[in-house]
Amino acid sequence: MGVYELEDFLRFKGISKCFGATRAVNNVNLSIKRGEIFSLLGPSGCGKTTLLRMLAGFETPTQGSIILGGTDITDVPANKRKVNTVFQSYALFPHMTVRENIAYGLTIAHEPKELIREKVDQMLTMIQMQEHANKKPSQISGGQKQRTAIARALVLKPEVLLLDEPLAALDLKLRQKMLMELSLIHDEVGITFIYVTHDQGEAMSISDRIAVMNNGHIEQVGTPAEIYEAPRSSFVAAFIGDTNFFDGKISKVIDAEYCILDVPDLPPILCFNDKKLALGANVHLSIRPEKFQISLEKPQVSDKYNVLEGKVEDVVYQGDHTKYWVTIADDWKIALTRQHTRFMLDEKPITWNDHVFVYWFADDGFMLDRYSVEDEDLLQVPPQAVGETEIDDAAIAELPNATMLNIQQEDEQ
Amino acid sequence: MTHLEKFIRAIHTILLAFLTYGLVANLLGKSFPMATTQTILFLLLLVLLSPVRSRIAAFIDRHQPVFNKFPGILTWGILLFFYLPIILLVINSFNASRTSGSWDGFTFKWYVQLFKHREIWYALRSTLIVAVIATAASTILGTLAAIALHKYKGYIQNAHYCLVYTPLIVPEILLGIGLLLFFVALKVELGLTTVIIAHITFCLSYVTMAVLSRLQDFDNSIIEASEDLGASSWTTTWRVLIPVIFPGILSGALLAFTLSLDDFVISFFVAGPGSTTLPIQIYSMIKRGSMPLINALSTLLLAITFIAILIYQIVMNRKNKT
Amino acid sequence: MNSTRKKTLREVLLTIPSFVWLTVFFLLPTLIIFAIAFKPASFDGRVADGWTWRTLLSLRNPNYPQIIWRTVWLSLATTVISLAVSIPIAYYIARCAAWKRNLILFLTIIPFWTSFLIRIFAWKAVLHPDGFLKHAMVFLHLIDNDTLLLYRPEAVLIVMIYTELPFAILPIYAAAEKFDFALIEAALDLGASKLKAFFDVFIPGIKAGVVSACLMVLIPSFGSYVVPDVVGGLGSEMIGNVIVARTFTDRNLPAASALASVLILALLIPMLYFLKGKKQGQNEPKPAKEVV
Repeated sequence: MGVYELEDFLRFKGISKCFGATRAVNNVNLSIKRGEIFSLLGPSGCGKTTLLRMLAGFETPTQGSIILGGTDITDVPANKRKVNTVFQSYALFPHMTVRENIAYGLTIAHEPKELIREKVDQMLTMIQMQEHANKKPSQISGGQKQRTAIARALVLKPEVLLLDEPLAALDLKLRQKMLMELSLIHDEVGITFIYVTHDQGEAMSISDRIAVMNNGHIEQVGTPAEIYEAPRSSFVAAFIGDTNFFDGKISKVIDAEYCILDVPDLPPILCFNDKKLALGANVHLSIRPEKFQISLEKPQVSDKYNVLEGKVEDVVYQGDHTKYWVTIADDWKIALTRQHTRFMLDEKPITWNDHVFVYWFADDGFMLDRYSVEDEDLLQVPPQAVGETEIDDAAIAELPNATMLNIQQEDEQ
Repeated sequence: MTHLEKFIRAIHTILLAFLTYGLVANLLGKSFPMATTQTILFLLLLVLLSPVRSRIAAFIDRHQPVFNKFPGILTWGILLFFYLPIILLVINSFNASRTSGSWDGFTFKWYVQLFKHREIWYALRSTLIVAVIATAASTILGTLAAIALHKYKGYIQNAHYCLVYTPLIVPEILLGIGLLLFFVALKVELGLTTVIIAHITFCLSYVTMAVLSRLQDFDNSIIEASEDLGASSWTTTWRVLIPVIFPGILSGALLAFTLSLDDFVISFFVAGPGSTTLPIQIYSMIKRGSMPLINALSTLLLAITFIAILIYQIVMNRKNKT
Repeated sequence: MNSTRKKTLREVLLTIPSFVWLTVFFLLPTLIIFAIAFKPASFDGRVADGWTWRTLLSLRNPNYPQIIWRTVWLSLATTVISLAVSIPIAYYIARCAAWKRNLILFLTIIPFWTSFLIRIFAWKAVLHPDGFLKHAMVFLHLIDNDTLLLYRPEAVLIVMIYTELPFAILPIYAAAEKFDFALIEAALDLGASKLKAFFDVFIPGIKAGVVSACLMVLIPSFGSYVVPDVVGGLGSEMIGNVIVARTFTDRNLPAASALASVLILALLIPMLYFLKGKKQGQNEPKPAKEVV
């Protein structure tokens, strides 16, 4: 098979879907390669599930077409598509045993009985469920249900396997185990997986490529590293991981690679100008918390670094790293993390209200194509604003009883 | 599509039309068991003709959008089926003609005649007396029974539950004849009292079920909270339990009241001379055949029911909003 | 010890009123039906003293097999048709938008609150020899002018379905509402047609509701009396009509109770099944109102 076929194995062309007045999916164009694990990632209500349901055949697109392996399947009903789904709630038939569930699709296809038995046995072996074959779904655990649902879909040898938040109903430990199993199964069957999730961790660890969706359209498509390191929009930057935004204007273009950004109340910031923006352009700069460095003394760094001075607003120790919120020039609040590479207890710790220097390498900042203010709501806020969830126990213990009552009353309100 | 396929489809359409016609003609034209047997034979034939069967499956597949609408069409059709007779009856109550076949102009004369009909007013009085007493008694008995069933477990309550539940599923005619035989055996004179006893008996089960379903949604910890705060069991029952399950008691009482108002079969068995309730009166009017008068009476009763439901809905909505 | 006794006392006080009432006015009368079947009849419409087997011989009436057969037929047909209609309706209601669902349920429940006799009487007008349906059918040449729509078993069947249908719709809807419709999508996804998915997945999924609906229609249908009496004629009597005729026309109470005993015995199995089902899953919908 040629390269062309690989690239265009599954294509969404200008897909839109309206439910009444709301546009759940808005003009989506996507190409998915044969054999890859492709994730649709986004918050709930972003249209990822609708897109998946259109591919499965449960919804008809209002506009656009879906092309699978060179044929237009937009109007092919769900039961005629070589596409199978693993449902979020598994949707195992409660009145059938595990074996009957897996065999259902083959029975519908009128396969000979011996062949069905053979194929189902093969599947049962793959998911290690041989001894549970005759149990009803109500008698098996969540992980086993999950595996049964996958086997039931895979036994039909689909061209694409759709997984709709398949791990959402499992607890954290099991989720990680199933994620491993999923990629093992993918290695074994080698078909295209389309994986819908709102969990960036899942998407990052399992996917070859990710499409980040928001408000019915695709914000960015790329490998996990591309999405994380080079977000194209403020939404992607804020939704995947955590970040800091600075908005300013380009006041000077130094050379082909660098420019100077003027941010109100801050000293001029040296930026890596990969997008070749012109003088006077309004720019949003995104810098990930772990790209910052922090120290009590003025750092000795090259001129490719930006250095800001500020006051530590908050410190949260999180074992492998510490998270700091630093206020700069009264207006700007930077979130940054520091990995604990050395033995921490020997160092002079940075604590509340310390005067600190925050600095970063110019190339680590990233200018965004698209920016919207609402995306800042996705960012992590300092603990105080979160409220009761992270109240410092020691601090409360020191408070007199009356105050404690007050806190409780406030909480109730 | 080839001509052959078109031809086969045409033949099947004709066959289908023929079978449908046969079915309808049979149902209308022959005695019922005959018609049913023949219909079943026809249907068997239809299924056994396997090419036809696969054609039907293919036909359904091909006309998927039409068949997708089938449940919806059926639902609204059935709702029409529910209301059409009632609507016709209301229209006819204003029809000057004695028969429903022709419209001789708008009139209120049946209503005027109705108001002059002494027996109806007398029957209405009996009905209301029976309904009020039966509702009050069955509400008290039913609430006690529900609390007992909810609070205690064991073989006594199992027997109690069976005793409360069975009247709900026994055909009314058996309740009626049983009570009649019981009263006859004890040589009790049939009259308003026997009707009231019969009504309390079947209303009791409905009230119990209504209160019990409310109790099942009820958070038992508030009883414990009340006892924890020092209330005696008596106080807890009156100050906490009864107010919380009051909506259940109210809906049970409402149900008992409407059931008692509407009951015909059981009353028919245990009513004596002079204890004619409204449904019995209506029944004898139906049998005697003064149709326009019953039309008018029915319309009045329907109007009262609908207004009552409307008020109930409005009150409930307002309550939910506040 | 004292508190245990107090608790027992409270249970007894709460249980006794309804327990005694139902024992006296429900259980006893039901047992009396069986007892009186073995009593001779007296001519004044009361029950004579002594015991006899002869009343049971009255069951050999040559008309009875036909009437029992008709009762069974009409009840089964009512049940089957009601279920066949209710299942797609329940499916439709469960998949509707919330406002539409509430509207349909409301419209389905309203007949519960209107008089049972009036609803049957309304049909008498519809099927009347001079009514609009007759005229319409004659006009369409479906029937000729001499055909009676009223006073025939088919009329009884239609009106019985009319009165029983809500009792089939509500329990099936209650089951359909809890049904996970992702299962139907899963079946479609695995290649089943819509019809196949409906039969393979939906119907097994609402089985409990269907069984409950089946019994809720079947049992009262067996005891139907008013419907065959009002819209049926001589050729469409059911057991209920005969019981009433023996009681009020012949004033032969033992003969009536013999027939009623037969009816009870015939219904015992479905009723026990119903009770058993209720005890297992008490979350099933309660009957809103039960008619004949």
